[in-house]
Amino acid sequence: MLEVAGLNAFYGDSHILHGVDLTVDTSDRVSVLGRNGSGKTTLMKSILNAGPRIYGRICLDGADLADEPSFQRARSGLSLVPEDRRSFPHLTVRDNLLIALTAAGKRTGLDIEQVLDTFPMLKPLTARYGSQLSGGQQQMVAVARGVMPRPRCLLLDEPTEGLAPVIVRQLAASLVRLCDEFNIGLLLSEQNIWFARFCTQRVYIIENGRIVFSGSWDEFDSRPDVKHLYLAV
Amino acid sequence: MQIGFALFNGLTVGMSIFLVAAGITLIFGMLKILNIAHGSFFMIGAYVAYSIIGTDPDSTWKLVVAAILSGLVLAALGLLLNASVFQRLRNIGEAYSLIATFALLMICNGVTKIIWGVNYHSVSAPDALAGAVMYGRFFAPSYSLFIIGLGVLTFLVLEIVVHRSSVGKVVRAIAHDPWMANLVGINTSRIYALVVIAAFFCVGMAGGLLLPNQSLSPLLFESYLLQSFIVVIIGGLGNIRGAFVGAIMLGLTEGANFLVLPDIPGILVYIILIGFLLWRPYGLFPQPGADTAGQAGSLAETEDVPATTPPKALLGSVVATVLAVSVLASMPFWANAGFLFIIGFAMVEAVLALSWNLLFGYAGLTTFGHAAFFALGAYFVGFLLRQETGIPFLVLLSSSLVLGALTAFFVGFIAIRRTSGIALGILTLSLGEILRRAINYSPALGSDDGLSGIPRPRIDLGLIVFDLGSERAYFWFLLAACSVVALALWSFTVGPKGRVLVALRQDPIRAEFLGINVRRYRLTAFVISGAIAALAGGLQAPWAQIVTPEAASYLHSTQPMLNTLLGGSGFFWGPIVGSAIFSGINYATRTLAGLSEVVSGGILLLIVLAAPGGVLGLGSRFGRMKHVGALHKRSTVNELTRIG
Repeated sequence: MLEVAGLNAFYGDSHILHGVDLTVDTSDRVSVLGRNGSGKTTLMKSILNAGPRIYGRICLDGADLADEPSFQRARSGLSLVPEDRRSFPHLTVRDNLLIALTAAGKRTGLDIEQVLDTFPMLKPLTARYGSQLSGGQQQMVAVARGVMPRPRCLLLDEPTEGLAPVIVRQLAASLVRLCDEFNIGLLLSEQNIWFARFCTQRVYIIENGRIVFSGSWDEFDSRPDVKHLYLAV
Repeated sequence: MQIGFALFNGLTVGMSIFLVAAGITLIFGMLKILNIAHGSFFMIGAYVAYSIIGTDPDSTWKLVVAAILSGLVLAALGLLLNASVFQRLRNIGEAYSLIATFALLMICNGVTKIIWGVNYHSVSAPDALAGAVMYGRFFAPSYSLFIIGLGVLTFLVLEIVVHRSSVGKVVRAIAHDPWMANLVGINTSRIYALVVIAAFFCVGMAGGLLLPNQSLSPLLFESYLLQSFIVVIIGGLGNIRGAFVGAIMLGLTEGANFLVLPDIPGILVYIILIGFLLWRPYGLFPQPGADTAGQAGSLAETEDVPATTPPKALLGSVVATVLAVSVLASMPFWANAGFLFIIGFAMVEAVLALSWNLLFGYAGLTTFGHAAFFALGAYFVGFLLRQETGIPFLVLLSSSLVLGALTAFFVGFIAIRRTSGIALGILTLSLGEILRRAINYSPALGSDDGLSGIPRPRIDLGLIVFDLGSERAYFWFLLAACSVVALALWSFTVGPKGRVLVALRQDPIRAEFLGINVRRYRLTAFVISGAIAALAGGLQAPWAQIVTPEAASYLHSTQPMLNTLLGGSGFFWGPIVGSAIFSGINYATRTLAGLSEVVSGGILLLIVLAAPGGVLGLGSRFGRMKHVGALHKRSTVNELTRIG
């Protein structure tokens, strides 16, 4: 469904991604692991054309997105939840979710009540403003907002960063349920291996802007050297 | 009775200002561009409506139709400008977008003069609105009621759209986080375009509807410009409710001014504004994030303005300097009197621009009131020369230097402590306006006419006496003085203190972490800058032999900015190059009213959009491709830290 081939990305003169290849099939759930500064966030942003200068092919359902701007990519079914969450502070939680329906375009998005059912933590907060939420609550809002347009593929950038363990478990459960129920593909960038393993079936490892490993979790487990080389601190 | 009438009048003024201010605050809230040209678009709207209905609209209906047509014309203009200018301004620094909209202001004013001429016209209110409504002992002109109703209606419509409608939610989402808004599928560029079109439609319509409110002339933009700025700043930039409350406050202050200080109209507003800025630099209703005026460091951080670079090719600059000075020194032998006169002005303006760039290019402070220091020096020296006090000229000049330094110290001590960014800009602009009005209404300083017939002095050094009475002699003196000042400034900027300033300009927060007392360095720069500006004024008074209140006007304050940016703010000598080019343009276009503004404004706009490094920046751009400069490295580091 989502195909990335030979992706190079730049910030100014610095070359961040070097020929990244990656695929996410329909309803497939995939992790991208890597250290700080390995290029995970740049990869996510590049797929949405939201910042870096990009060269290479990014195809969604066979159609090359070429130089489509990010709002168009969002409308064609890619939904990015950025690592800094970015819930809209002057809108209520409900409006934060509803505004994301803009990205549903001609498709129909999800019903807000259904989404709220999946994130029980948000139910009592719907009338709060984005600026009145804790970090964990903001992350829930950001993820809920991300699934609202019922994307073909959800791109989650380090969602567990800074979250309490109990919230991480809640988030993992909600996420898997939503993706299963509505056939949403997932591209997850993470450093938390437990969370990544719980949510996804396959894993890529990125290092210095290059994909250095790709395979199932079993294959990952059979290669302790990979884990040591690219993920150990 | 009189009080009620004055306050009612004030309210009318306030509401008419609000009609312009609403557009400014709307555009700022969305695009983060402070559109200085908005008052000029109001003026164009008024002229367009005037062209449609003439001076005597015979029915209210016709006035309204003309206003709507003029709104449509302006909306089309807005669409055009959004695509050609505003869209590009979103990617460059705040200071540069201010300059760009100022360039638009110049172009608009020039075009207005070319199309409609410089004469005053007065349009009468249609009969239905010409009368008055009696209410007991109190009577109110119908037209005033019409304006107040219009203001309130506009406010209600905007309020409902922004805070109650689904469009408003999109608008608020974009205002706070355009990047994320894009990611949830909102076509932000289209919304930006719609907002600009709406703001331009409103201002065009306001221009038409307010035609009978005041006389129509190419100066119309001015009152609306400054006052709507004040309203927007008081209310908190980007805040419609704030602008509405601010407009009422401004109107009532104007009314009170009429009662308390009838001799100096308009001064109370500026005094209150200054107090207000010092008290609440973020406005009445500050919004978190980018919507504030006084946000610390907001000017210095996002800019892609090239930072001032230490000069490298010393020999080259020495040769260029010697060459330039010798050419100038030879001018009295071959240039005609008119040209020589302009060159003399250009030299003084160059010194003024150098002093302004010490703040902008080195200390990272953008001020809009630099002409006040200039006027201070000019009036001081001019006044005392006319009195023939016998004080030696060099003592006078030194005193003007000290006077400028002291004033700058007092102003800077408070202003730099309390404000930065746009708030500092508006604060200094207000101080300049207060000085101009104070001069305007003081008979001892010649009021509107200024001081004329200022004699040129003699310099008695005991052994030698220089008589500067002739044009030629004073020109040489001027050249020598300006060169000395420029060299002194230059040696300051390349010295250790200058280097600290450069560091501080690039990143005040990091500089502070390195143990640099940022505020003290900025104050030092402010004092030096003010002193030199005053000295420039003192030098100019005997050259022009006349000083007028225009010396203190905000239009004069923008001259050093334009010169600096034209030449290149990242280069010490940039302001001088800019002054030379500007004088050349002015000289070449001086005959046709309006044309010089269009040309200067057009060039300025082109520079900001195409070459934010100025003329000198264009030349060194190729050099920089080979040697990656210090600034470039820094930005790369910043980008690297963003990569997760």
